[in-house]
Order: sequence, then C-alpha cells, then structure tokens
Amino acid sequence: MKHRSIDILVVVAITIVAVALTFTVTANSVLGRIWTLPLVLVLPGYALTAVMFPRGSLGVLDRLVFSLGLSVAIVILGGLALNWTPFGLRASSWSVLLASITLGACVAALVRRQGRSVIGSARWGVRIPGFTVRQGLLLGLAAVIVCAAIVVSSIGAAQQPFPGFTQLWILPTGGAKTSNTVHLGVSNMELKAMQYRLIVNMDGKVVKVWPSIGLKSNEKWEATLVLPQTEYVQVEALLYRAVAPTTIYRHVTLWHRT
Amino acid sequence: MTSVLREPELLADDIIITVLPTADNWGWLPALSLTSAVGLLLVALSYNASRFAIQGSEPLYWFGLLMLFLPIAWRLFSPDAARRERIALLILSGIALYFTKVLEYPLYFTYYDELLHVRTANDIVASGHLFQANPGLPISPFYPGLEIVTNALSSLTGLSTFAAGSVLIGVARLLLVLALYLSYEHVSNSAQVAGIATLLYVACVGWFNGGFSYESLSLSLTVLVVFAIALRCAVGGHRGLILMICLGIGATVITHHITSYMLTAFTFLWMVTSFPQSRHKKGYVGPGGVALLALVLCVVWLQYTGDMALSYLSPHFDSTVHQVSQILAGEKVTRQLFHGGAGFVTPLWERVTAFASVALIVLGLPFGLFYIWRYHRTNAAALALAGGALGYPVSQAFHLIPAGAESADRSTAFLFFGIAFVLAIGATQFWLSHGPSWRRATMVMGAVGIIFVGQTILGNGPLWARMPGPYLVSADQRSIETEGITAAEWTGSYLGPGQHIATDRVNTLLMMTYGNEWTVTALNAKTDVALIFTSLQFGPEIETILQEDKIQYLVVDRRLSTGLPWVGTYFSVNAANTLQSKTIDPAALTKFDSVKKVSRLFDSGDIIIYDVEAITDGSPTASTSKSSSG
Repeated sequence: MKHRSIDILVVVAITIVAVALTFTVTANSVLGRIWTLPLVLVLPGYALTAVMFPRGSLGVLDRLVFSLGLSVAIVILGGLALNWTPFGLRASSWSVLLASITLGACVAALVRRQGRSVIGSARWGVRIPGFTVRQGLLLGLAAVIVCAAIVVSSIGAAQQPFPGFTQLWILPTGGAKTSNTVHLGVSNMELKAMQYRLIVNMDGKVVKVWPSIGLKSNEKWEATLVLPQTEYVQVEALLYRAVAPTTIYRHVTLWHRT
Repeated sequence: MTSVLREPELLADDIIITVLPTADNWGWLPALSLTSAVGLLLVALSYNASRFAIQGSEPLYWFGLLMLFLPIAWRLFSPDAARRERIALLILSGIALYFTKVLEYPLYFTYYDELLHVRTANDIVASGHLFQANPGLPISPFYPGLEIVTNALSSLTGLSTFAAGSVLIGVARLLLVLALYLSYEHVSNSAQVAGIATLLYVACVGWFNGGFSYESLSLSLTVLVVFAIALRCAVGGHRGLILMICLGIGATVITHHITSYMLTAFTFLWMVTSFPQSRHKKGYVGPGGVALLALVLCVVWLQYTGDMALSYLSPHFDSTVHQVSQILAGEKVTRQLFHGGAGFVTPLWERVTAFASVALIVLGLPFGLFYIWRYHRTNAAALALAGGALGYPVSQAFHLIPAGAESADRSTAFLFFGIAFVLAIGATQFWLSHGPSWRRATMVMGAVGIIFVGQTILGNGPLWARMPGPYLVSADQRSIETEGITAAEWTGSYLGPGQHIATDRVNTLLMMTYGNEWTVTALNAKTDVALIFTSLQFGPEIETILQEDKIQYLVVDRRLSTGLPWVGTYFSVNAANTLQSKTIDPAALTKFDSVKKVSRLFDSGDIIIYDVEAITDGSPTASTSKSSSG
C-alpha cells in the first residue's frame, strides 16, 4: 500500500510540516513560512481529487487542473465558513481548516485505494519524458534570462526618477485639540541631504526657531513644542531651505479650537 | 491535418478520461522558451526605457511582445507539434504574458481596480472577518473570493498582500490556460484546435484579466466548471464531477457577480443547444441541472448580499440604455473612438491595427461558424461556444456609446471564450487544411499577429497606460508615485485610520489603501464631493457638503490644476463616462488656505492636507485675507 500511495503520504507529510511551521515560525519569517504555500494552492484539491478520481481515471493534466481549481474553491468556501466562526480568518484557523480537509481527504483516499490494483504507467495516463542536455541548457538559459528580466524591471521601478520633496506637518497633541502643545515634523524625501530652518509663529509672533535642521535623504525630524500660552488663535510653521533662506518652502497652520 | 485525440470514453465506474500523448518529445519547447525569455527581457527593458523617458521604448516593447508571441503561435498552428509540447507552450505563453503585466509595476499594485481590492484584502487582515465596508468599491467585500484566497496565502506564508496576490493571479492564470485547453480539446477532439484557441484567448484578453481583480480569479474557476460540465456530459453523472461542479460554481458565485451571471447564461445556452442530443441519446446528462444550480446560487447570493450587485450594475445599465436612446433620437453624438482624456488621441498606426484586428476577427468568424455547422453541429458545447461568439459584433457597437465602452471592453473576456474556439476551427479547417504551404502559413501568422497587436491596444488601453513612466495628472497607475503614497502613509500613522477624507480619484485610492482611511466618494457620499475641489469660492454650499458627509480632512493635490485628467475625470468614475474638458482652476485648490478654522496640517509641496473638522462640527467660519504661500 505504501508504494502505491506514496503521493498521498507525501501530501500528508507536507501538510503536517506546513501546520507545524504555522504554529512555530513567526509570520514575518517569509522564508520559513513560504513552505505553507502548497497547503493553500495545491494540497486540499489534490487530496480531494485523489478521493473522487482514483489513479488511472484522470490524466496528469486533468489532475493538476482539478487540484489547483478545487484547492482555490475549497479555500474560498472555507473562508466563508471561517467567517461564521469566532476564530475568523487567521493563520491558525486557516492552518487547522485546510489541514483538516487535506488530511481527511488523504485518509479517505487511502481507504479507497485499498484493494484496488493499479497497472504500471497507465496509472498516470502520461509518461513525462526528460530533456536532453542541449534542451536542458536552452531551458536553463531561458530561466536565467527571465530572472534577468525580473531583476532589470525591479531595479528600474525602484530607481525610477521622481521629483524629490519635503514633508512638513503640524498636529495638536493630547488628542482633544485644545492642548497648548503641538507636534511638528519634517521628512526629507529630496534624494539628497538637506539643511532646513523652521520658524513657528503664534498669532503672527515668532515663538520658536530651529535655525538648522540637517536631514539626510529619507530622514525624519520630529519635535513637540510647548506653546507659551494656551490662548491663541493660530499657530503657523514655516520651513525654509538653506539654499533659499528667504523663500518659504513649506507652510502649515493650526487653528486653535475652542 | 489536425492532431486528433481519441474520444473520451468511460473505462470503468469512476474512470473519466485518459488522453494519451501523441509523441514523447518536447519538440520546439526549449528553443521557444529562449525566444520567449528574450522577448520578456526586451519588454522589461522597454519599461525601463519608458520609466527613464528614453526614446525608443515603444518599438522595443512591441518587438519584445511579438518575439514572445509569434514563434509560439507559429508552432501551435503547426500540425506537427505533440500534445505535450502544445500544453507546455501554452503554459509558457500564458505565464510570460502575465509577466509582461507584472514587470510593468513589479513593486506594488498600481491599477485602479487592483487598489480597490487591496482595501478589501487589508480589511480582512485587520478584522479577521469578511464583509467590511469598502469606501471605493462597496460591492467588493460582498464578492470576496479573491481576497479570501489572498488572505489564506498571506496569513500562512507571511507574504505581503502584493506578493500573495501576484502569486494567486499567476496560479489563476495557469489554471485558466490549462482549463481552457482541456475544454477546447474536449469539445473539438483536436489538440491543434485547442492549442490555437487557448493561445488566442490568452493573448487577446487584456491585462485587466491579469490584474488583482475578482474577475481574474473567477474566470479561471468558470472555465474549470465548463470543463467539468463537458466531462460530465460525456461520461454521465460522475459523483466526483458533480462535487467539482458544485464547488466551482459556489466559488465563482461568491467571487464575481458578472462572471457568475455569464456562467449561468452560458450553461443555459448550452442546455438549449443540447436539446436535440438529450432527445435522441438515452442516458445523456445535459447541462440543464447545472444551469439551474448556477441560477439558484446566483439568486441566493444576490439575496444574501442585499441585492448589492443590482444596485452596483444598474446605474451602468440605465446610463447605457439612456445614451442609446439619446443617440437614436439624434440628441447625442456617438463616442469618438480612440480619443481619451487630456486630449490624447491614439496614434494612427494603432488605430488602423485595432480596426484591422476587429475586422479580421469578424471576418474570421463565418469560416469557423461554417465548419462548426458542417462538422460539429451535433456537438452541443461547440454550438454553445459558437452562439457566444455571435455576441462579438454587437459588443463592438457598444464602443460607440460613452457609457457602454467599458462594458464592451470587459465583455471581451467572456465572448472570447467562444470567439477563440470559432477562429481556431476556421483556421485549422479552412486555412491550414491543405497541407504545408509557406504562403498560407505566413498569411495566417500575419493575421494572428495583427489580431494580437490590435487586441493588446484595445484591451490594455492607450500607450501611456501600457507603459510605466513619469507622473501624469489623474492617470491611475501613472499617477501612483512616492509623494502620494507617503502622504497616505502619513495620514494612517498620524491621523489614524478610518478618518473621513475627501480627495481626488488617485489620492482616494492611496488614502484608502496606504492610509486605511474612509474616503468619501461619489459612491458613498450624499452630495457631490467634487464640488469641494472645483468651486472657486469656499461658501455655504461647500460647508453643507462637508457637514452632510461628515468630512474631517481634505487632501488637495495641486498637480490637478496642471492638466486635464488622462482617464477623463479628476474624481470618481461617473456612470455616464463623460470626459472632463476643463482644467481645475489653481485658485479652486488653494482657496482653503484663506479659510478661518481650516488647519493646514500637512504640506509636501504638491499635496496639502487640511483639517476641516471645525466646519463639519458646525463652527462658524469666514475667509481670511491671508494669501497662500504655496
């Protein structure tokens, strides 16, 4: 039985490994968790196909199509079912659901295969031939070129030129928007290091000056400013660049809410 | 001569079909893999050239696409290729053409519909549950199949939504190619016809169906269901196939409304064409039961979702009917073809090729229809496919109606299921049936090349939409760039998610996905939000809009005043699909600076974020005399 059902045993093994990975490897470890991918896209469908269509009844291509399609359908309908449970659609609930379906179907397939004889290569309907060295080289070269295309495009997209910019913001602190402290921030997205000067006015009077804020590209500066008085109408922050010290570069205002 | 497979046969109680290979070699696959890979690399290089505004990107793009497509087409049209080689070539071309879409924007989703679905996917991740409200596409959470599978993938693997979605659509694409091939092969009993038809379908149905959109996934499931029905009709009531069909229809119904309706319509058409068979063939299991099942499931889901699909689709339908009646009454002129937003006119050669492509398809249909009638008229599935193809000329007429143009584009994915089959039958029976001839083969390849290029032009939009490049005003994917993305991320981080924000079309997408904000749009607003940004004065009318729709923040993109919108509108899509003809006045976008109690919280040069909650809360306001410093 073992030899005849090696495919099912492999499915069981991958399923168990996938479940173990879900519960032992953190979600941000993609390299560790990527091995759970077949549990979504292939295994449930393959196992169910094995139950419904015993070996020899389908060609490899038909089985592949049914495995992929059934897996997707099972996940969609399973997601709907999970939504109605208190667990919802989470990694753990997905893992348990898909593993249960897959392992249940594997058991059913193993039971169904018992006592059935399968004859030689006709089991799969198709015999997949290998490649000659020359064919292998051509395919290998094609794979390298596809990888090159992906790298070229990804680098091009990441390095696509865009006009640099600086963000300036002002927010009231404390949440109630009635506090006398404000939160200020500058973010340099100019693609080069920048020197800024920041002036804060309260009702037209300067209350704070940061004469030099140096930021490298993609660097951010933030500060909390306690205003000298709680009664004010408007706080204004003006940002200047060192290269154009008299021209307002960015400008934000905060109206006091009473 | 065509490669003929033996008839599917019932071997035992639970044995369906075993199609035997005709040869044991891979034929031209290795060499054509290389040409396809080089074609893909050329396309990737053309994208980079376009990104860096280097001349010559367009010829490189077309050369790459044709290098990818034509050699495979040539081989698939040949009667010599083995079944295995054909299948491998179809997988190769299907995946390679999908990659031409992925490589355009390989770092994140940028297409309009993709970002709408990203919001639904993000909501499921955040809440762990379905049916969370989506401000940009309210119907999307109620057809969550795509997002459910993406959630399963990203939850289990740790992949981002972009990576998980891209893998899923790639797998859906693979499933589509294989299911199409098997369906066509089953109906025609010819690997050659199946190969040609599948290639025509995959190559001619545009990028929209390769994007992260519910239709991309549902199409694959639908074709799989059709294949399962075809098998069931051939072998009788196999329990496994019945389960397969039920699961497939169920998944399709909760993935995409239109696709599930099209599947239902097709199965009913198939039921009609199979009447003669059901009357003369004892024990014949037709698609009637499946058609009824599909109808019932569609109705049940429609009821469960509170008729969301009807309220979503009916404005488009009403608008189309209204415009048709206006055109017939002479009150309205037809839509100017190949004229888009911002005054963009498709280049002459593209227009000619697109027209030639449609003409070749329309002219090719009678050949296929003739041979289907002659040799396959007892084949109910072939007749149903032929019937579906007849809708093509009608669908093309909808391009002349402003509100119908999008429907015409989107119907291609469904109609081409039949068109590709009819054209493949016509090509093999009429054009390629007289033995090897270089002249005929060249003519056929030329026609196929024109159809491919023309359908790419029609399906993937105008040149600016097909290629990445510098920022364009209101141009969907061409307007998604770092300044907008970081502004949206800033709102999510500093203002918190779920704020009621009003903004333009592109920043709506960014705010609802990268910022996770509740964007107020024409779809969910009580008032005309666009007026906030187009009115030159900040008056009581705008205050009323802000108050009625409880808008807390305005995101103003000053670049809107630098040009007309490339997609035709600055704000949400209107059902009438009319083009904006007037640029927004810069003063309309800077007026908020002079309004008392409107805080200017964020300034990144082009994008300004205003806090208008004081007005929404009902505080009295007045314009100040302070001028904008820009």
